[in-house]
Amino acid sequence: MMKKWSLLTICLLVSVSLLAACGQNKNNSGASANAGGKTGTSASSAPEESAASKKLVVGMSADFPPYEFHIKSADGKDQIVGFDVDIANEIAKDLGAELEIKDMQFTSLLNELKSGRVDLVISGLSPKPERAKEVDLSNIYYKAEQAVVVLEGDKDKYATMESLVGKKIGVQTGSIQEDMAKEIKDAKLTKLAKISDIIMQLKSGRVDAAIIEGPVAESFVKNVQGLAITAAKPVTEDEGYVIGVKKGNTELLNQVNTTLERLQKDNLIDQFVQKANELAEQK
Amino acid sequence: MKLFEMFWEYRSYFLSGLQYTLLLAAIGVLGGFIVGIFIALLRMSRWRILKFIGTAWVEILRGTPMLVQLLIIHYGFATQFHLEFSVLESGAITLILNSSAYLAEIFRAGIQGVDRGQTEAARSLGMGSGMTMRYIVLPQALKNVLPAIGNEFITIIKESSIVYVIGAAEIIYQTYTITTITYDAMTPYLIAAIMYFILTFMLSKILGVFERKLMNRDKR
Repeated sequence: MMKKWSLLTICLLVSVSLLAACGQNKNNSGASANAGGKTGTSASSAPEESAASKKLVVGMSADFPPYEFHIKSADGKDQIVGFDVDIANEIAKDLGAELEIKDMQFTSLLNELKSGRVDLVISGLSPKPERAKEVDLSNIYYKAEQAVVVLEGDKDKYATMESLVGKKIGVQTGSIQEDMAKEIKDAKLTKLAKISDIIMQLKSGRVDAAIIEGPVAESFVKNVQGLAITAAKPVTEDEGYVIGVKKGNTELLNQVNTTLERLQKDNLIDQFVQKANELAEQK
Repeated sequence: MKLFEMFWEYRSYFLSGLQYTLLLAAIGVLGGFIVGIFIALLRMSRWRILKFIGTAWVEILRGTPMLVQLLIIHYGFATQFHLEFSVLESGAITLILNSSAYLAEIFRAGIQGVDRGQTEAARSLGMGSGMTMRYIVLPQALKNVLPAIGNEFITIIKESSIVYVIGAAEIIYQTYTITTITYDAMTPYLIAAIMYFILTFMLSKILGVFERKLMNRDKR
């Protein structure tokens, strides 16, 4: 009896250690793959060694037209486009790396960055102080206004910010709009991960208004019937959007800032925005 | 008929999502089944330590939400121990761990439900305890708990939708993608619901056939 059980225990231990070994292997290969992607963290020992196979992994939450969104291209393939994607392309070009985009929930993005699965987060990220503690943030590359979206019939009812006092307001979880909505007195917040879910809440009457990023709100209002943007202007503290880099990766951060400076100097970002807006309207 | 139109237009999205879901569910079901039997045996072990490990495994994994387990495995392990599982690995591990806890309890109920006389008879015929377990107790136990196992399999298929949070391209993830393309936040969900229903309904039919076969063998 004892013998059998000890046999079973040994079997179990062997299988566990095998599994552990598997995990170890995966871990190693993952780490080496990362060393190629994380441009320059420790690559100084072997400079330009893997220039061709270098990969820049960028995380974004592609539900945010015109910043980043999905389209179905002519040949039926899924594609992520938007001006954040264009900026990512430029950064990858300057680094001599190949761009890989990872589409994630917005709330998962910073975790992805901290756990080293993505090199950059370019997803309409606002420079919140709490965020700056967790990850390094680049210079501001774009500024946008916020908008209040309501049902068409309510457009005049919510024409000022004061009219939102005590109302039910929908915002994206972890976004800058969430902080703005918190400033409104007695407002009851509904926080959801996806903008499309917030629009659903609005349309089904579960929230009275939604605070959404200006260009994003416009593309939703154009494409979803029965919605309107009110005259109310949420107070913005002159925030803009930044790119997130893993804490301590100064080299990559400097590279990103250099690219952003170049794009701003050549007025390319405005062009990207325009292009993305047109794409968002076509779909 | 917008439902069919949308499904047809975005069939490549739905089908690739279906593939991923099926893969994850298959790994979860298979892995959970094997690990579950092990844990059930551990729980019934006469050694205190093994019993404790089995009990702790079941209680902890059954008592914490799967979403939390997933986030800990995918992000917590990566930041703390530099164990960087891929999305598929994290999803599969979480599903296996979670379902093994439930399946272990089901197996334990089944094994303990087999009449003691069966074990006694087998032992008196000269079978060892391992042999008795393998050839006498487990087959009977499995037959008795088949409906409960089927229940758990269906749960695994549905719960696999949670892994969209870490960016696994399964059905729900693809559905969200289509929502952002079309701005339609109802039809894609309906299609996803129908797809899940077809999957689980088929599985329960298959298990039903299997169950009947085992029943028939009994009558002979």
